[in-house]
Amino acid sequence: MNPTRLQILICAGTGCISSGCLDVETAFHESLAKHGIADEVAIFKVGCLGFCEQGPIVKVYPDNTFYVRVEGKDVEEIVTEHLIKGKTIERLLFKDPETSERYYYYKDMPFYKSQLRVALKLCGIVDPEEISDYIGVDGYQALAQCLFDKSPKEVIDIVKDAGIRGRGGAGFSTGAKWEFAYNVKGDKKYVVCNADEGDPGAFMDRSILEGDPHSVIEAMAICAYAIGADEGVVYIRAEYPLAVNRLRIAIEQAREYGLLGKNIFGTDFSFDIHMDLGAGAFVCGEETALLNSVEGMRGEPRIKPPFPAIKGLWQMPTIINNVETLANIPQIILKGAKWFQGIGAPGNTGTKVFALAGKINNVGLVEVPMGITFHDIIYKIGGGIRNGKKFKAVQTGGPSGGLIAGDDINIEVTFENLQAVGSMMGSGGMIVMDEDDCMVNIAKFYLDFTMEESCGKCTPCRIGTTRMYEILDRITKGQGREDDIKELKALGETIKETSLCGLGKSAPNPILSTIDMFMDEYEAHIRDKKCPAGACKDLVQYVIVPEKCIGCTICARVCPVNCIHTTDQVVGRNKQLHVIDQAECVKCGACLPKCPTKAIITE
Amino acid sequence: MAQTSYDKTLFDKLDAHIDSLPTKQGALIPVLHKAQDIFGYLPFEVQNHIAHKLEIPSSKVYGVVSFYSFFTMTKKGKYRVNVCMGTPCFVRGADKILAKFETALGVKSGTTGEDGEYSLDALRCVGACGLAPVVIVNGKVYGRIAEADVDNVIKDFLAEVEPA
Amino acid sequence: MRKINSREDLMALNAQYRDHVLMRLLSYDSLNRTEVTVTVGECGMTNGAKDTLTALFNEVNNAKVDDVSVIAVDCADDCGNEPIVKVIFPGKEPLVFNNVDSAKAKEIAKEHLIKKGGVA
Repeated sequence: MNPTRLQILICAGTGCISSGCLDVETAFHESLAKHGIADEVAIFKVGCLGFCEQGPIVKVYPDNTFYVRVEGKDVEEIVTEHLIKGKTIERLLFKDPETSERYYYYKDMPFYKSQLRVALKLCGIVDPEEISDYIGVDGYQALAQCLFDKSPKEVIDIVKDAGIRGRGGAGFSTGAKWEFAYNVKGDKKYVVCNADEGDPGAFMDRSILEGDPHSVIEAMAICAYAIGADEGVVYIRAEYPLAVNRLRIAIEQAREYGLLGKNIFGTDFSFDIHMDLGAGAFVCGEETALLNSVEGMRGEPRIKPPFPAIKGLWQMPTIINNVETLANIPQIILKGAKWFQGIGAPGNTGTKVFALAGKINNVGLVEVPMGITFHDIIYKIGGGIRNGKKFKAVQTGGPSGGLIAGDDINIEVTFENLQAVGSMMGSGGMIVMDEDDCMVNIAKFYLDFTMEESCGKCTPCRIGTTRMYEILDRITKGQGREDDIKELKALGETIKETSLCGLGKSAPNPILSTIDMFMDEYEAHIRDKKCPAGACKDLVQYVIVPEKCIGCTICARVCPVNCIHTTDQVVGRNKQLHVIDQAECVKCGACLPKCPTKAIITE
Repeated sequence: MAQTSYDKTLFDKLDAHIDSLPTKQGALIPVLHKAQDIFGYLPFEVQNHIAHKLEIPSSKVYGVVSFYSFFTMTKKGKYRVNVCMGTPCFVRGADKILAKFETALGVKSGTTGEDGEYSLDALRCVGACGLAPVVIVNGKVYGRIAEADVDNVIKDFLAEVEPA
Repeated sequence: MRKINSREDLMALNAQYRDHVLMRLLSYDSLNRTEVTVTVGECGMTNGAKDTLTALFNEVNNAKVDDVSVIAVDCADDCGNEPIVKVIFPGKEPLVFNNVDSAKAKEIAKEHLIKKGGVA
């Protein structure tokens, strides 16, 4: 394998594959062959570069040019102009939607400038399907260091000193967790990687597994050495076929190289990993429910204590760590606890990966040091709100979290701060909402999710979420009652207090948090039967403003139910004023964009 | 179309897989995945067969199948239209797109049409949030679609996508 | 495919595979890399820019200098002097060489990139 003068990196995360990056790859191979320079250029498919909105992304090295939205038809130009003549293709560079500035280097782009990649460091650098790339960037050296230079206790102490806390949501000290399992005597222990990323809108774990699976495998082996385990399980969503496939390849390659299996590096340490596919149950992200699922049962949570570190899989001591947590471990070992402490905020060391989505300009995967403000994430990295709309709130923690609005977006991102404002870190979904999003509708959306995903074990969660959903449903339909809010709060508090697992304990959060912050919207729905954001279909009325109507009849012609009638009032050039019969209107909105004078409005 | 429930070769394939497992401990969910791969769905006959093979009660198998949304007990259509209903897709209008598909295909969400052509489902997040809203038809992903694109998506998958 | 049986095996493979990923890693997080640019416009190419480029790349690569990137760039509109080679050390005035053929390129590499190292 001789190094080539030029390297082409094609982002092949799920986002870019959906946008057609595989066609781009084929086009490159064809074009390079056509111009006879195939042996001067190496092409790699790498994991998610994070900027999914702009995919497919192509990077050219060593120039370090960052091309966005590359299609198969652009490839010939890249080859003839850039690769052969050294000319950058301006039109394929990222253009800032606000300033229209084009960026040559990724490191200058606002999206990347404020980011700090630790867990995602190798995502987009190494070819996830080639273990040689990972070994070439010092892969598996952290494991070797542990096995040869450090006792299990020393490994645990480094992880503890680094201060890394579980990235799956709860924020428990990873080192302390390992220590529990280390202290339990037993011949059989397990390391489980929780890759059951069920939080809608979160895709950081998927991206890590798709882009850099070996970091996770190495981290699991390090954990196994530290606690004395010899068997590992990755519990991964079946809905992530690409991640499953890349992880499978990575595990097989690690085995072939002897980095998994018996007597690793010729020592007496043995460890192997297998994968278990989830089957579409959100609750299985909860660690004890996950264990039940691995054991082939319904994914219902267990009572804690005993904690899994004491009695976990098959009643043996088990460490369950989230993918992102694990992805940090090899670097912590190689660079030391001090290095990690230097990133982030006190008590909240390191970085956090967020999946930035919703009504924001730059949708994608971002990794930031803890302690950054939401304002910076949304405006500096995210590029602000789409289409110049007004920011309303940002949701974190998925169905278990809450909303952050108003001045709260200036708080620093830490586990504690998020809790203090009624949300939570969660796994890292960050969904930005604008003025068009109705908070009651959003609350209903999340509850619809938790209601369906409640495993049914605890009555308050199973029945309570359904009752809460019914109330929210009638509020969004204009049938809300005066004491509904009181009822929602009472039910919410009860469910939180009396449920066994994290799902139930947190299911009411989005509702309580929206009531707290957007009481006026709830009141508008209940008292005035109006949806201020205009999102709740049943509460929206389409009306024609008489002063603007010119009687052109276009609206009446597009109306599918013929509910737009003429009146005797004369408007425009001797035409008749139109009105919408509210009793017949089905609120399809077909008339709205057709009106030439924008006389039709919603209220 | 052959009645899969009587197709012995499919059962043989499943048996061969089960027999090749190193242990039956904790094997139920992986076996169900495999069975759904083979049969396309998990009717009672298949569930009973698995219960028998793994020496566990059918009630346990049914309990697991009905618990996980990935497993289905009804046969899906030739074209499986999945509309992602993750939060990012939702805030970008996935609910309206789902409604549009319901009218356009004449199939209610969560069901399969009587002619067996289309299944329509609302899906939990597929993690392609950068492309929201997302629709997946037999594995082909359509991203950044608007209500107005629905008819074109249907035209496209009828021409481009292999029926299952 | 080699089975790794010791720490030494791992380090040997690391050394073997490192070159392959170095370019990506270097461009990724090093602001300290030295860039060597070669103009490959029409005049440059007629005057052997391709050989210049290859010579520079091979020299740097064979010497295993970690922090130097050899980059082909557009014509500098200075036809008489092409190919032009610029050595850009981070934060310093670039060194400019005109009419660089492969022999001269080797000299530049030896003198300015390998001997002194890339990082000032």
